[in-house]
Amino acid sequence: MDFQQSIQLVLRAKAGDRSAFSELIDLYQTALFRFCFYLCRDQSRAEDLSQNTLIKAFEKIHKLQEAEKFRPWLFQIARHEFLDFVRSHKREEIRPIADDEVVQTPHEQDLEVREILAALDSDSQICLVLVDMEGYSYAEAAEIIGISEDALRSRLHRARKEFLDKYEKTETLKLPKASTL
Amino acid sequence: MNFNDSQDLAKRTQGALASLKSASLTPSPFMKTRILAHFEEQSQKIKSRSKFWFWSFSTSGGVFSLALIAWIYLISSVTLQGVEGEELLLRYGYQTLAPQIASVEVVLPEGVNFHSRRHPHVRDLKVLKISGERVRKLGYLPVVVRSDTPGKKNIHFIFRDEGGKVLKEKHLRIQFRHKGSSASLKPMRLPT
Repeated sequence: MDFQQSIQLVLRAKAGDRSAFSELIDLYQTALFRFCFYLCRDQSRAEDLSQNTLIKAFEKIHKLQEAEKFRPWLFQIARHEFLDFVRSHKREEIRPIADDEVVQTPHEQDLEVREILAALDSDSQICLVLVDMEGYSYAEAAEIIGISEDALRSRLHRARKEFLDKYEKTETLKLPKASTL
Repeated sequence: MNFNDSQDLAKRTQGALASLKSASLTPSPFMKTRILAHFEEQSQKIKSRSKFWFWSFSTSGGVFSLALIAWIYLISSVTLQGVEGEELLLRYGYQTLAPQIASVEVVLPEGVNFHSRRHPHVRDLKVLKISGERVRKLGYLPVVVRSDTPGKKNIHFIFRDEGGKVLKEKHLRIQFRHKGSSASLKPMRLPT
């Protein structure tokens, strides 16, 4: 589908056409889901975030002024959903593990990379995911985050440096003394 | 910063993040159905609000009973859970005891292995001894385990002081499910 066709779809959705909603979901749900998944690192939470984003987008689509800005506008909503999610889960995540408490997490090969990414501030994570993982242009990423392109470049540079510093220094729990007793 | 530095930084970051990317990452096929159903439900709600109140009052007793049964079931079924063949990261907390701890031994049952990308040799161990300042500082012990078979498995932790005296022992029971038997696991905190 080319850009003009997607604009037509947005205009039809703005006019209340349900089939246009459905086609817009087909068009954007995978990209939106990936964006949410890279940020929150959990399949079901990413689905909740993308679902809420699409529902809010269609509830507010009449407020969208320029149909050609639908994609950055949609990702702006997703960004807000993610920031709300981070705020509501922050207390739980920073609480230390108490005596006799067990935290269980499905372990993945790239847990370390995920944890380093998660340790950055939310907007740095969003910059890295949009530009370095999803390949968005600086202009589009800046629009989603709501900052100028220059500010985006500077934030991205900081985020990359911070991420790489941690990535290159990181060491998991050292187990050199491992031995069979 | 010059252009080359910036390009290099971008390349290295993209290289590191590439391991997280997955081409097969797609939402559930039902997500779209749920979204469309949400809007359908919204319009239906407006039409049938009066009917809804009648039925909700008449059935509230039954709904309450069902909710109570579901709640009791959920409370009683909370346990550590894993999936066979998949790595599970466990972090066991021991804040209060931490200053006295010199070493921790983790003992695995048959069919369960340790997993570490950086220390692959731990896979062959049945007992792992971890010691040093880090054990004290962390206040929790992270271990990644993997079971090749489903069922209940018991992981044994032994905390020792400088003199080798046992300060505490802990058995964690994990129920490893058959692969593909239900939805993916979620991170969770559990008192033990």
